Amino acid sequence: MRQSRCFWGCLSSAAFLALGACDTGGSSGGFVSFPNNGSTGSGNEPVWNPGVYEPASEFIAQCENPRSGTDIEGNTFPDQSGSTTIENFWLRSWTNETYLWNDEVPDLDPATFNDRLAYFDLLKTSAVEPSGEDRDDFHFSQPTEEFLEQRNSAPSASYGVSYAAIATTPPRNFRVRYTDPGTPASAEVGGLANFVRGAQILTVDGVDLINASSDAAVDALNAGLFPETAGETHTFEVLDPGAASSRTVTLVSENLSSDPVNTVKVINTGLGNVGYVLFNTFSPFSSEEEIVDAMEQLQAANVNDLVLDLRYNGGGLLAIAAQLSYMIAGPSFTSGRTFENLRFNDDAGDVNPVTGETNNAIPFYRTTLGFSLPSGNALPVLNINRVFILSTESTCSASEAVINGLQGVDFEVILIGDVTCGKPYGFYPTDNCGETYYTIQFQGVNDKGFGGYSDGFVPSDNPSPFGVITDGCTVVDDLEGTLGDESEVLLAAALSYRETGSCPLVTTTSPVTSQASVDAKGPALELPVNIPASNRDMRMPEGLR
Amino acid sequence: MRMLGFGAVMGLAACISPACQAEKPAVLALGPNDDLSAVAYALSRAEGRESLAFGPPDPRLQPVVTVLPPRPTSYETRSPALPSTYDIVSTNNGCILRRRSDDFVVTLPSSVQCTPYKP
Repeated sequence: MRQSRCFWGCLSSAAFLALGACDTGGSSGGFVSFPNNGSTGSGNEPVWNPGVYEPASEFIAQCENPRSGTDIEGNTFPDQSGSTTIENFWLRSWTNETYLWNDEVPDLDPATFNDRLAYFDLLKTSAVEPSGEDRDDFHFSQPTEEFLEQRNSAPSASYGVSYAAIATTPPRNFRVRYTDPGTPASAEVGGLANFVRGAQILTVDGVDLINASSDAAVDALNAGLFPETAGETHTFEVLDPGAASSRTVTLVSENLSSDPVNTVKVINTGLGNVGYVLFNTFSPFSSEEEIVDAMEQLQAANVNDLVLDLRYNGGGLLAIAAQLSYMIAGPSFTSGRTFENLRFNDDAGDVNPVTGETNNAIPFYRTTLGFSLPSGNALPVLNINRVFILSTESTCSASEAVINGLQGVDFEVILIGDVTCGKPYGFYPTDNCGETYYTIQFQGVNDKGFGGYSDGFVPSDNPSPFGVITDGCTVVDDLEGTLGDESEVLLAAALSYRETGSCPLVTTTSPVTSQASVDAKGPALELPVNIPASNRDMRMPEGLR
Repeated sequence: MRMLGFGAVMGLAACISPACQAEKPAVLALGPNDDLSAVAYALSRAEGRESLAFGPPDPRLQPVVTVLPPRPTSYETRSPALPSTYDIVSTNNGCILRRRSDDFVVTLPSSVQCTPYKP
């Protein structure tokens, strides 16, 4: 497992320079002068004029509880004395300027809400998709202090395991999804890995994970599953897949970063070499180097097909998704084409309403970009004409952008697994007065202008009436078999489809549906289909707390 | 304070002016134990944030400084963030950094020396 790269360390110039407060459009100590169409009422509060939206800059950083000093990144807080009403006015105008469906948001009087979060919750569309799902499932906020802590967190204590939380209330069912190589979880003792994929966790430090209900027991489970510091020793009783009896595993936590590329493999077949890559996240900067390394290996092996395992990849950096797509499809498919356009609200025109910059398309990047490799070097290209993508409902966002981007240039994608999560949307987390807000601001659309996959991409044999039908086969991820092993059920289906052109009959003895994933590294609870407010509990699903 | 792009103002792309001809790709003349604090200080204004992290390559060896974007959190599953790449250039008046995306120029403090890049 690699440490995240931060060349020459992360430097703060805060000690050298204290920048002035951001331009808030206001004056200190008093209240801003509002545009002509706004008026102030008693107490220097702005007055709601239905359908009229002053610039958000008129209200920014005028806080009920202004912060002072600097944040953990060294930036001086811009806050001035204000009120909840003014914060609500900022939310209203900011939503009108940047929200993707700004014309579907109710215009509510900010002065009638004394809770900014309650007001924010209403500043979204209430439209429903044909599937019955809310159009906007991704509307939430978190304290800015918490956001910055996450953004600046060093490698955190972990064993290097990702859990599948199949049942989070008694009788609970927690199983091992995968382990990262070179970690305590994957270390072998007596020829057997400590944690085997699919193993069910029965007890943690002697506490019954399946049935325990007391607060003390749940605290003990959390402490063991999610160690807070490196060097903690915890003992697990696990039941391996197919085993008749359990075994005891003792793990010592280490400070670890997630490993983007977990497995790279060349599979020799009678029809030529097949490349397999288990790619679990686009988020760390190291993912650029790791996926380029993987593609170079497969290029050298002259693979004529690729199985890209994105079943647990919840997304991350779009630029790396664009690089990966170029390395798959090559210049013949991508030359002069767009990987993804960010579609903002109708009022934005050609401008990104969040940054104020020209809204440039995201190309199929042909070179390295400087995340973890020096920029400007040509990327390797595989000489292939199609890609098999392994998917589950955890295949999300930037991972789906790969599917959509490739389909946009008519590169064949064969989907093996389950319906993807359906998140063509993105946002720029934005702080105001100590709360960081997430509101959908753009939809990613491909070269054909398509981005309507909020019900996911659906393998063509799946009976679901919703979603974007994509050639492929529905196969349930049964959590058994080593990922990358030719007998593992999704990979086996891809290889079979490659030979026969049809979906295999797949049976599974332990179907796993609706998994919540819980990465056992720091405060990461991933619920990629929906990020509800309850997800602010970063350590465990509610049922286990 | 935002400086105008040299390329737009002085026609540097054509490189016909004496000033342009005096410009040369350069690397930072830092010792192995020197850090990039002064460079970070200068770039923090250009990037609009106080805390910066640098990506590859080593600007003592290659004529480039890469500034990484803020790291995406686990909620940012569709992040359009990109690194900023600055070319290191020596001029008659000292060292500058020029951002490739828009020719934005950052003048480095006199305490930061650079030397011509030798491929």
